[in-house]
Amino acid sequence: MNNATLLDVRGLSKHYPVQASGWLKPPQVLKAVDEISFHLDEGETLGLVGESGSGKSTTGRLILRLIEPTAGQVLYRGQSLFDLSPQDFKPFRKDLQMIFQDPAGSLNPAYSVHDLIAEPLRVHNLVSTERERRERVAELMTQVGLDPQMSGRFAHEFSGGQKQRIGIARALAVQAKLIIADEPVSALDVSIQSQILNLMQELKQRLGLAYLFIAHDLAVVKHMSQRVAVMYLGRIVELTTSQNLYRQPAHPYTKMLLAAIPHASAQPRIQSKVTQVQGEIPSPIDRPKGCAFHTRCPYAVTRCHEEDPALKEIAVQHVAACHLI
Amino acid sequence: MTPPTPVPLLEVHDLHTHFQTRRGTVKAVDGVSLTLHQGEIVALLGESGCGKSVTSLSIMGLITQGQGTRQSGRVLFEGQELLGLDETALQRLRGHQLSMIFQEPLSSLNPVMTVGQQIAEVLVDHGLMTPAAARDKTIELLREVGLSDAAQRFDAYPHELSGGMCQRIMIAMAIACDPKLLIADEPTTALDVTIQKQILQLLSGLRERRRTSVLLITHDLGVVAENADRVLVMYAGKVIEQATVQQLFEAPAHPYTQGLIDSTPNLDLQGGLLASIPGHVPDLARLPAGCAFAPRCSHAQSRCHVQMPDLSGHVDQRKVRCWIPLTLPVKA
Repeated sequence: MNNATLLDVRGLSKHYPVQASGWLKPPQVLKAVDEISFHLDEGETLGLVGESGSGKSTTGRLILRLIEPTAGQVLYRGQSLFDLSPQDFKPFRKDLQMIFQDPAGSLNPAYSVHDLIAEPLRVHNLVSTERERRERVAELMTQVGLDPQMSGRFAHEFSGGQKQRIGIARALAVQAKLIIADEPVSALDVSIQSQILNLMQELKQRLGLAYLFIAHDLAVVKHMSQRVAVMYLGRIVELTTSQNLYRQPAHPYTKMLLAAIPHASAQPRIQSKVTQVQGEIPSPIDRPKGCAFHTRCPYAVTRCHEEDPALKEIAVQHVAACHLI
Repeated sequence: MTPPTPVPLLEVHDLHTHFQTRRGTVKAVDGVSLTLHQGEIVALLGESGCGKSVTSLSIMGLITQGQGTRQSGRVLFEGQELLGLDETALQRLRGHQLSMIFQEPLSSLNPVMTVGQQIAEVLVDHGLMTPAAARDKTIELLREVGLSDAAQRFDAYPHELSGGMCQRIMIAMAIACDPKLLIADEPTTALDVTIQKQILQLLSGLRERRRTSVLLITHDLGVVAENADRVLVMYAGKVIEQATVQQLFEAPAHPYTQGLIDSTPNLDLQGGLLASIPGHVPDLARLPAGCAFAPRCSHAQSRCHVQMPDLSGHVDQRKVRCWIPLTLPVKA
C-alpha cells in the first residue's frame, strides 16, 4: 500500500449552541465533534464506528464542508480545505465524494438514472458532447453492475441495492479519490449488503480509492477497513489497525461494542471480560465530567469521574483514551 | 431450551394472505405453517418482502379481509381459531393474551399521551384494574423493563425518551396483561447494537420469568443465533427451511440459508470478498415458475425452474423446501 497521506484531520470540532430550557440559564453547547484528529493514507480504508450520536456522521460532513466547522483543519494532499473559497473548493469536491445511508432519499426522484449519473459530469464539465456523456454514463453503470439499458428508468424502479449502486456511480463519475461512505449498507438486506461491500472493495482495488467508512456495525467495518477509529460522544477513544482492534481491544467502550454484536454461529462466542452491555450514550449537551464513558464503564474508578483521559499511544499504531490502560 | 409442552400455544396451518393489486395477486404469505410452544422463542428469519411481517400481522388479526385481501388457513391460539374471529373477541385477546411490539417504537407510541398513561390504558381497558391501581402496576412494569427512575418516567412523553427507552415502553405495554404470546417484529432493527443487546436480554428474561413465548421476526442472523430456540427461514412468502438454531448454523440445508450465512460479515472473517447471493428478492406479484429462489441459486437444475418443491422432512423441527438440499434432513 501507498503510504502518502491523503487526508489529515487536525483538531476538528463542531459545536452547536443550544438554547437552555430556562430563560435565565445561559445557552449550552452541544459538542457534536470535539477536537478529533486522524489521517487517512492513499488507497486506505479507515473505519469510523460508534453508536448513534457519537459524531461519526458529523465528522464525514465536516470533511466535505457540508457543514462549517467550529475549529480545526482538514488537509487534503497538504491543502487546507477550510481556507478555500467556495470557488476554489469546487475542484476538491470532485476528489471528495460521499455515498449515503438512504439511497432512495439521496436520489432525485424526477431524474432518470442517466440524468442522475450525468449530473456530476455536467456540473464539473467533464464531458463536452452528448455522445461522450452517454458513453461515460453507460461505462459507469457497467462499472457498478447496472445494465446500461436501464438508464432511462427512474430511481423508484430500482431496488435498494441498485439505488446504492447508482449512488456509487455518481461518486465515481467525477473520479473521486476519497469516498466518505456514511452507513452505505445499513439500510440493505443481508444478501444485498454483501454485493455492495464487494463492489466497494473491487472498485477500491481497481481505481485506488480511499474510503472513510462510517458505520455502526463493527463486523462490517472490520471487513472493510485497514484501520478503525472508535468514537464516543464526539471524540475518538481508540484508533488502531483493524486486526489490533478486534484481537486486542483496549478501551472498555470498544470491548462493550464488540460484546454487543450478535454472533451468527452455532458456537457460543468466547466472551471477553466485558460482557455486560449497559446504559445508553449520554446526551452530548451534558457530557459527563471526567471520562465521558465512566457512566457505563464496568471498570471505572474515582479518577475516571474527575479527570478526562487523553489519547495516548499504548502500542505501535494503537492509541486509546483510558486511564486504566 | 425448556422441554415443550404437548399442546402448542400457537398453531398456524397453511396460512395464506394474498393481496389483489393492479399488478396482480401478491402472495405475501403462501402456505405458512408453524407451531410455537409455551416458553419457546421461535424466529421467523427473512429479508424484506419475504412475508414475515405479514405473517405476524395475520396471526394478530390485524389484516382486514375483503377488498382484495384474501386469507385462508388456520391460526389456532390454545386451540381457539383466530382467523375470522369477530373484532370484539379479537380485541379481548389482543394486548391481553397475545401482544406485539414493532420495529419503530417512536412511531408506535401516541405522541400526545404520557408513556405511563399509554401503559395503564391497556390494563384499564382490559378490565384488569382501576386507573389508580394501574398507575402502581405501570410503575412496577417500567421497573421490570429496566427503566431507571420509573416513577418519574410515568409522566414522560415519548419524544423525551431515547429509541431504546421507547422500545422498553413498548415492551412494558405489551407485557402489561401478562400475555402468553409476544410477537416481536424486528424489535431491535432501529437500535444501536449496545441497546439491541439489552432489549434482547430483556426479552429472554421475560421468557425465563413469565414463560412468555416469543415469535421473533428478524432479518438478522446474529439475533437469531443468540436468542431463538428454533428458526423458520422465509423466502418469497414461503417457509424454505425450519430447524433448531444449532442445526441451522451447523448445517444449513437450503442454499438460500447457506447464502445468508456466508454473506453475513463475521468478526472471525479476515477481509477479502464476501460470498454473496446474486440478484435480488423476487417481486411477490411476479414470482418465477418453480422454486422462487432458483434464479439466484447456484445449485439450480432444470427441475427447480419448473416445479416448487415441498417443505419436507421427517421431524417437525427439521424441514427444507429444496429438490437438492445441501444436507439431508434426517430423523433427529
